[in-house]
Amino acid sequence: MARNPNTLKQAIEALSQVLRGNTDPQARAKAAECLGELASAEALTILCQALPQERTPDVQICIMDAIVTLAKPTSDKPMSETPKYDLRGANIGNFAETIQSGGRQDATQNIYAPEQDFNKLLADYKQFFNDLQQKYPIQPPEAALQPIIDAEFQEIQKTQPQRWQNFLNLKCLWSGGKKATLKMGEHFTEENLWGKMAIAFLEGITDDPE
Amino acid sequence: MLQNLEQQQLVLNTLCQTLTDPEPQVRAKAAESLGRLELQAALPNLLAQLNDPSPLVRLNIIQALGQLRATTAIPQLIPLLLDEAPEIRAATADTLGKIGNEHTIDYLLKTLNDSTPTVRATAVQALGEIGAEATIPPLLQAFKDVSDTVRIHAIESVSKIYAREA
Repeated sequence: MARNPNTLKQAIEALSQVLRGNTDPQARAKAAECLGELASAEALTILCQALPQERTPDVQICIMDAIVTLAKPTSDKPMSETPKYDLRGANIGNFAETIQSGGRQDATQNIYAPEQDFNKLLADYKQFFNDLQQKYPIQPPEAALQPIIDAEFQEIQKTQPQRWQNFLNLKCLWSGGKKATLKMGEHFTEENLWGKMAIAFLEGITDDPE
Repeated sequence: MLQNLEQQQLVLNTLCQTLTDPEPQVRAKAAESLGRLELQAALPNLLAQLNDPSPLVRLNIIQALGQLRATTAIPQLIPLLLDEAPEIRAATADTLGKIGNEHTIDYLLKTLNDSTPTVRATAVQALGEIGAEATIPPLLQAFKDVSDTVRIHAIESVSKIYAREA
């Protein structure tokens, strides 16, 4: 799946600023880790430039780990193929109840959904949340996440209507039983708030943004 | 991701420069990273730091040399079979098992008399990796070692050598 180059550029720039200028070593370490996940030549250059400037050993070690992640041939895959947070690990319950409460979606989207490849839609959706996570390397408090996601969804509706339609189609397929084909687990939803929000949208627990 | 020589050189230079960082854990990580990336061009820098005062750094360099399959490093590795730190002696024996040849056998055989069982056990494994039939008699002697681990590895090594011969 192709990534939006503008989004990627913005994410790299933001992470680079954190890595170079943030006074909190944990934030710099996290920024290095995130850059390592971006599968970008620019990210690799930024990490190499940052290493000699960094004086905190723990951060230096994180930078080197990120360099190896990016540079090692066996891990040389586009990020969409090796997501850090994998929705296939989602452990979702109350599926049947969700269909009823989310019936509004079924009525309008079944026209498109069956023709679309579920995995492709899911990959793009995961990418959206991966991009969000990189945009906000320091995770906002839980209460602030939903407004952020709503705003991002609204932006997608406005600027990428087809992508937004794909998200809705995914939601429809998810409710229509496709999620049952995924391997159940708990990593994504238990350890990551972004993941919880991603699943909540698909489950119909959160409404579509107005 | 190392799409061109320029990028490879940048990574190489950055990590090699970090091999001389004041902090031992940082130097150790740089050595580990060079090994994981299998950057052959890092060999001179790794060898230059092989006598680092930190055992952790020496350990990671020795392991990196094994990952690089750096046979040219063998002459510099052999003295480390007598390093004061047993983990260094064991790591050296392990690396020599990966990259060693018939010329290293005598040194590994001497290591079978090391005072630390882990070192003897690793030497026994290394001899099994090299796989020379000439090492069978001393390996059979190691069946009588006081350490269970050494004895078990000696049996495995003999088995491995004969399996290779078959």
